[in-house]
Amino acid sequence: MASSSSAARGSDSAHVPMRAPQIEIEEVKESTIRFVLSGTDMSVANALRRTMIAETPCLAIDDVEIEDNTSPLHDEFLAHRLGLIPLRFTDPEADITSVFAMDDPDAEDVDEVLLVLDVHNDASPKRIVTSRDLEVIPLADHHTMVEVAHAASMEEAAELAAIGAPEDGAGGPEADAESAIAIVKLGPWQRVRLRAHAKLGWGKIHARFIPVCTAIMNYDYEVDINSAAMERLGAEDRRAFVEACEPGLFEFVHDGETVRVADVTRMANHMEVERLASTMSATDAPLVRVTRRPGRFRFEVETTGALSAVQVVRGALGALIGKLDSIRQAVAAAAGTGVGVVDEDDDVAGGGAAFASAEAGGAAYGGMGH
Amino acid sequence: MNAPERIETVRVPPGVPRVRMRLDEKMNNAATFECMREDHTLGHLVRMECLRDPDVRFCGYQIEHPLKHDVMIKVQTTKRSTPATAVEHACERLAGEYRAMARSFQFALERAGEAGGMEER
Repeated sequence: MASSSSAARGSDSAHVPMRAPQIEIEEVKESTIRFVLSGTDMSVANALRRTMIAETPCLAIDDVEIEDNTSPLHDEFLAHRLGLIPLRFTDPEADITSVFAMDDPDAEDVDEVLLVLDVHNDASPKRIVTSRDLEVIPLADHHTMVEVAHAASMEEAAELAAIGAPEDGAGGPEADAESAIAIVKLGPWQRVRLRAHAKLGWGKIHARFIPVCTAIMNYDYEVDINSAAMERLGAEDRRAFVEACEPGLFEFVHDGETVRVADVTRMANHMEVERLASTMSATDAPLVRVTRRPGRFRFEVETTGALSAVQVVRGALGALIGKLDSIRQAVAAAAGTGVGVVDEDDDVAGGGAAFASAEAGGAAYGGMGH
Repeated sequence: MNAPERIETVRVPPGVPRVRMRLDEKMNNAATFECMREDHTLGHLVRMECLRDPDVRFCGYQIEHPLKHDVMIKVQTTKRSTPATAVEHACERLAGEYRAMARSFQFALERAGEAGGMEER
């Protein structure tokens, strides 16, 4: 790399062009969203995906005080199951981190939401304890924004209720367990009584704080069918190719012979499609050509119910912006003092001195970057 | 039990700065930034963004050990810049990029809402 070609230029970042990423939403529901992120780099898109999984804060039960447990499951088992029950943050506009304080063992007053569960099976042969038995006890105003999520969305709840409901519509314990999250089954005279404390946490701490069950990122593929190569195949082989690829990726047009692309988003393994396209071709030319549209990434997010899909994307973007801002300030502070001690009074300008002394005693440029 | 505390993966120990800078003793304009309690999310992001800067001659990141939750970002720049400036500007551009993304997302949501069929809780 030439080092003196544009020495007159300042060392600000103005000469590095900013990218203008765009989001196009394809489908958004309460607990799922599909969108295309374009005009950016893979690292930026992947950071968004990773942040949605590991660093988007959400609530989960963190501490359980068991008061009575004669159920078949031991205390730790119960606590683990309780932790994985999504707790929905119901305010669609508010930022969860501005409402709840982050879990910090050093904090004097940890913001916890209290939940209680007390089920005693009076002699019936079986009682299924579900998330419906878990009750939020609001100790502060903002605790009313929290509810136990029995399903990822209203839609899913309705579907589950329909599965669980018997023909005569009588309901019963089995139907309840179907439309909520089963925790434990109690036999006659068994009892579970406990107090649980929910806190705000990150997926990095434990899986119970992960608000998504799916956060997939993929390239935006383009598939071109080589109709000449496809013509050379018999109807049998053509059908075999379509069936060998992911279901729904290719289809036959109404004449039943011509292959066309049905839904590119069905492609999960482009290498397999490419392999089939060359091995199953009767000629040297592959049957289809798969290309990636540069700088475009397809996202598919599905939440557990703790947050809505929109809240997850917003939360992840907010977390990333906050992280980058705090790192920038921390780097400025570290450079200001030269040794990394955080000192508010020192600004970036002080870093010049540290570098100057390093330059004076340092060797010539090494081979890096050449 | 001797399992490390889970919270240690995210909590910067009290009194420890979020980022420590160590100047390279054998090279000019080179430094390593030790970012406490960060991972590939930040490391790769900053690395790729720094490399877009023509004044950055080298940028790489490393997580020293699977049990350490810190990331080291190594940067060497030309004389026109300093490693700290390069990293700061990279973070600034990235934050700006995510802000633009958030605006675009909001805009797309509003359009999806107008098109109907969108219910937001």
